[in-house]
Amino acid sequence: MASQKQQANKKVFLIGRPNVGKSSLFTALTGQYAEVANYCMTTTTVKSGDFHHEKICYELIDTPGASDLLSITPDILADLASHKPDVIVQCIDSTCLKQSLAMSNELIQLGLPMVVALTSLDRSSKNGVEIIESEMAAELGVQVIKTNPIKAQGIGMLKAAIQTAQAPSASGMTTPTSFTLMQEKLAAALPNSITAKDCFASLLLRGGSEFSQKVQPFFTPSEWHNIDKDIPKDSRPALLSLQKHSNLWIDDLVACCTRKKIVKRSKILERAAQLSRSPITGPFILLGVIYVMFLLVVHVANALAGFLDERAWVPVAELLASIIPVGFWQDILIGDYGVLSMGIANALLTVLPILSVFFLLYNTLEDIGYIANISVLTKRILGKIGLSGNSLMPMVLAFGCKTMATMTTKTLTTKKERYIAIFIIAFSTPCAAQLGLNLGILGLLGKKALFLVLGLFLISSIFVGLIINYAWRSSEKAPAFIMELPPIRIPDPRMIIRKTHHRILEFLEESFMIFVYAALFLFVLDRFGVLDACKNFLRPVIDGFLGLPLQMVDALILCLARQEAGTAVILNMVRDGALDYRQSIVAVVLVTMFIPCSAHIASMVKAIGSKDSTLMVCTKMLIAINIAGALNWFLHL
Amino acid sequence: MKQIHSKTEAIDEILEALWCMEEKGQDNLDDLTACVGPFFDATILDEMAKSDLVIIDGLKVLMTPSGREQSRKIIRAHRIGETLLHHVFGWDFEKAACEFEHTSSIEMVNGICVLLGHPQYCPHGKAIPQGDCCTKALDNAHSEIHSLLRLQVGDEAKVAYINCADNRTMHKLNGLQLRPGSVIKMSQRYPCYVIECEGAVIALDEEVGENIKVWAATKPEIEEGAVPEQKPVSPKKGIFNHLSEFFAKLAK
Repeated sequence: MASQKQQANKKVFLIGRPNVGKSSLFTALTGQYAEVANYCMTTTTVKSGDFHHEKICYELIDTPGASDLLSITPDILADLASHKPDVIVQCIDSTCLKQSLAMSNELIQLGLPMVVALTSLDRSSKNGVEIIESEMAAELGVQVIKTNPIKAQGIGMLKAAIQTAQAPSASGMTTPTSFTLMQEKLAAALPNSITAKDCFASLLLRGGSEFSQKVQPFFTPSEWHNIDKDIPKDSRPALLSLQKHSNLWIDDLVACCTRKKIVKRSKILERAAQLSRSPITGPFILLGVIYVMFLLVVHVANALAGFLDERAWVPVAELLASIIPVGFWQDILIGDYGVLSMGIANALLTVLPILSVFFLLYNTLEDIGYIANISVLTKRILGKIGLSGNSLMPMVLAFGCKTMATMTTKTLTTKKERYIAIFIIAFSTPCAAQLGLNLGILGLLGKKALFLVLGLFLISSIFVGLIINYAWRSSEKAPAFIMELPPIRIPDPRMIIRKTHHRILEFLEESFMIFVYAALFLFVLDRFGVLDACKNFLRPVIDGFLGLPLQMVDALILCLARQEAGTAVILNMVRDGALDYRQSIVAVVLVTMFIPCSAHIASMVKAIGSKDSTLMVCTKMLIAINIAGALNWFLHL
Repeated sequence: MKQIHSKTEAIDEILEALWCMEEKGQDNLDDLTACVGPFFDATILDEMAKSDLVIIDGLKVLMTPSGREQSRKIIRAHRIGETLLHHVFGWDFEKAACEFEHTSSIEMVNGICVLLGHPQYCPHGKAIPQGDCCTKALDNAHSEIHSLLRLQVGDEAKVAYINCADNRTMHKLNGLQLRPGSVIKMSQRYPCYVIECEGAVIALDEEVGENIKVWAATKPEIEEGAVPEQKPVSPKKGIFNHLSEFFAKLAK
């Protein structure tokens, strides 16, 4: 039975340019969640899921967005070149039809069964462009299906099309002879392990040295020597004529499969995007957005958390205290480091309400496309601290999850830029969960504290960046910066709710048990007196230099396990009045900058090696303590 | 096949062939004969050696510095000519450019180069040797083609060509449909350039923008002989205008 099932398993590749809705389509097809955001490169790693259609099981693989086959990651390319997928589904955003068609042409030349899924049709028809899928299908020689993944329209048809998918009946565009000659010569030199030789040869010719370096590890040195000698050094004339052919092919195709209507386009959204990017209005809009988020977190989330604490936790704690006799069991359940008090209540009653509200707001901003658009504003500042425009995306992602952002830095080509980006991500960008809780704490303190802390984060990241940029002389040249910005769109409540739901589930799955284990761990340390020894050892720093109560050591230890856990302890301390105004601000700054969570450290080690990341984490801790100390001194004045 | 009319033209053809061979890394006499074709005349080559344009060393043929300088001018004129014909007239350029390269007027070649906004590559994608005008970057008002950076917010323009040394960037731009013929609109200039092209919004840095050359915005055509309509100037009013007029009178 098992073997039969395996035979039936078909591999389907989902391919498309960045931000065309591949991940939404993935979710619609498999029912599994794939991270969706209105900006490019949300999918950083390959994701796979299963779906069934007429008793056949299909394995769907969601690939990171790539504008052409050249920018696809080497392992997927290797899979494509060796004919592994049974069907390719190309996802095409109909508002940017032309941009996707260059890739369609490359995919057609692979000769694999293929289906085209059109998305964003509502937006393209608003722009006055109607796509006639039957003509497009005839021109491309593959089935073209109109879909709307969010409303789950056209998904059944798409599944049926995947089942009946055939190799393209059209041959794509004709290549100019000058190019074909070079291609044939190179294809002949390729080893037999590669099946789509023509296509691979074409990629080698077009990709230049960057692409050659990427694929070189797939060959033995002697094989590579054979190949390399057939890659002409001056292939540009042939490439230009190839490009001209391809552009003509695209223009013809678009001309015959679209009908244009004259419609009055609404300029409001375009205008909104322009205003949010403008150096004059942009900063004010950003401040406004932050302030509104702050107000909502304060008035909705904090109130909710306070209410839950009062109505749900206090009665339970009192009840338990009256039932369980004083001693070991009371301590382990509801004591200072109790599994119930510090673990479960903390996670569910303090962190969860704040995170839910914050994620709802953050996801709305993401869905609108606001976050990627404002990133343009910071381009000049980034330049000053040694980051090119290409670092914009990792920096933006860092406000979602530092771990993911650190992984994206591998797209940065120069070593210097990669190190600066990783350091600043680790040092002073709070991740979404932490930002939410920080807002919660600062909400108890007032808006002056909010702008003080945010200003401090901004200034210290710029300062640190400036120093590294100045000290590290490098001759490497950053590549040209070209970034597509997502359009500002009306947010879709269904998407936002689905995404918030997923993020909360993810939080519960990933962190809930860590809260419990961390509480247990602290409990054990406390029992054996290790905790007190630790606190006494750190007293000069914590109490003397930073002016914080010794209880902060608990928060710092919890932070190592999970940032939210530590921050939640501080939130509770602020709420109970254990920290005054000055101490609260110092504590927020310290916790955000001081320790990266364990997953983040792992991603750093992966990106730059264990030696460099240890060095980086130590430096950052040192700077963080000094900044917090200085802040303590400054606020005393 | 090309017709060679005079001795100077024959010398030019050989120098041109030697430049192209240098680009491919060849220096052999056989390659040269193959490159120049049936009109190759060995006596002219000897004459060139005598007048210190080339050095013949066994089977190798090399250009002297003065030969290279002359060759450079020819190649520059040839490729500028090609670019002009290709971008401005849309002609099949090869044949006419072959005639054009024998021009002796550096001023004319420079003039066209300025007009075209100092192109760096000919339509075949081969590098055009730089002239005085490019090194001095005489980007004056006469250019019909200039870089995208000169567009103001809200301006629309058609892309003329893209100066781009690296294939990867060229592909990336082409993939985004930023290519000769596509119409772009400048949407923002600061902190980085943002343009709209084929329904997509793209952010660029200065370096990329500088290399995207667009046709100067076309002005509304005025019929010949017609006097451009003048806006009636309304007399200025207001206390500040009266004051400034008053001061202007005082100054007189």
